[in-house]
Amino acid sequence: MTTEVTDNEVLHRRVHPTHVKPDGSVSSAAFTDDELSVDRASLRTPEETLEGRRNYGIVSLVVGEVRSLKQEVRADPTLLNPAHALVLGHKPKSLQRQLARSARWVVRVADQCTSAQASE
Amino acid sequence: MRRVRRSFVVGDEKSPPKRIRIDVLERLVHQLRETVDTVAKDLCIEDSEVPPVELVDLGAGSSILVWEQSSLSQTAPFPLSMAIDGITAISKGRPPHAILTERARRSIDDLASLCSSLGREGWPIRVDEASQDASESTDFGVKSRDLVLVPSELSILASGTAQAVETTGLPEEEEPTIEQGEWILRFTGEVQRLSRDRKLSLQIGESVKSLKPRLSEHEFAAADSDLARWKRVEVTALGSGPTIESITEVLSIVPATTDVPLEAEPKNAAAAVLQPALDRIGQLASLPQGWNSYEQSRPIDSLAMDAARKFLLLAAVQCKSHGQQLTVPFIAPVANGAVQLEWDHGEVHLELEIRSRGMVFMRAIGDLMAEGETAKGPALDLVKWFHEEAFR
Repeated sequence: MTTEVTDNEVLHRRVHPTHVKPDGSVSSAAFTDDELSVDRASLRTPEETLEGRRNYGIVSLVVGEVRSLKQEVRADPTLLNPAHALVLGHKPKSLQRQLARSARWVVRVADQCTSAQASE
Repeated sequence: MRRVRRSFVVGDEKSPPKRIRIDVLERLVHQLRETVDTVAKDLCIEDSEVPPVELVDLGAGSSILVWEQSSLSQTAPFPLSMAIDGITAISKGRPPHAILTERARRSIDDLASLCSSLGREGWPIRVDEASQDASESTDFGVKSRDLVLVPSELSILASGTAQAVETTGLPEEEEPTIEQGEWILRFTGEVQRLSRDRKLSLQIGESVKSLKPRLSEHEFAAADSDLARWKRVEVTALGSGPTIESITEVLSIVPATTDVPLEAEPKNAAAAVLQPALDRIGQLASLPQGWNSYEQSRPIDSLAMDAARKFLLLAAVQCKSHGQQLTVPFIAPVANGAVQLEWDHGEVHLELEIRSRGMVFMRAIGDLMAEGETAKGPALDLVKWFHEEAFR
């Protein structure tokens, strides 16, 4: 398993239902952590990312876009989650908003009981 | 490093450029720097990100004034461009860039007024309208294309615009009537003191509140002579919000038979509109450690929730005073324990992250954003800014 995260890789981030806005977009409040936990999509399916979290959605971020916002993306595999990675760096509100705007739904909060592959 | 260069040309289009007198130059430089500084502060751009604006060239016998500003940031806007574009906009009867708040707009107005006044004194100044990115330029010469503004005409243009608005012939719109939210509150408290002017000091929870209930002479006398029985009382009151602090009028106060924790019920439609947002803030209290499925997320701070509720109510009252109905924001919990209020309307966006101590804001029009720490007063101004820009 490679520990180098390439620019064209896709990252998955679970989204809590309270972060889904009425128009269906995701709130910037979902991207506030300076050490933002994500899963590398190439190493873990959305079903696995959502395991045990039935009310959550998943959004995707492209590593290259994240790095263009001066964030470091680093693999951080754990025993239970070898796909774990971190988006590292201070995230002022403007950057949180840019992450929210570039996020794409992989599993919408309302969809996730029926399909884990819905995409936009 | 990014750089931007903007220029003024002294002289109008009908006559050749003229040499600027030093005292005129000083006045212009002083006001331009002040305006640029105000714009930078308004956009919350750190001093380190945008060094002061510099007069880098007095070309062509000091008739062309070239200013430059550099930035280490790849994304921060240039206050120099925003200030100069602002006076161009004013000359065309438009407001300066919408991302700017009233403070910066006033300063741009001052700069435009100075240009007008210099024009009247015989120093007409033309502004290069187009922004020039000088990052790769080695030539300090000025391309004075698009010289559309003669500031001496600013006042004429402005009054012409005002006249056009007056003669549109549209019927005057009626002032919208905005209802202020009212809640009916019920709670029990403990009487601490009953004063001669019929004021009650009540211990409610941990705070003491002085209330003047509607007590008749007879009721007052009964209460005064029977304080033991009146020790615990049940209060029904009207409030501008669902909190004890917002009480505007006490409707009734009677000896309590049972304990009533604070109950608040919207009395009118305006309160009912805000109630779901207030309820949603209250519901955030149930989020446990790790609520967003990641370990770092903390429970939402009760002080932050209180502050968010109070801020919403204040914003509603402020909006009403400006003849607006508060747009109810989206409420989001934040992993650091704060509460985020988000307003969206097309390209106009405002976020306020309310923490147990202080708040942080971000306002945006499309891709142009400004952010920083703020306090209650300026944050209320930002809500006003959002409504003005969104519903212009």
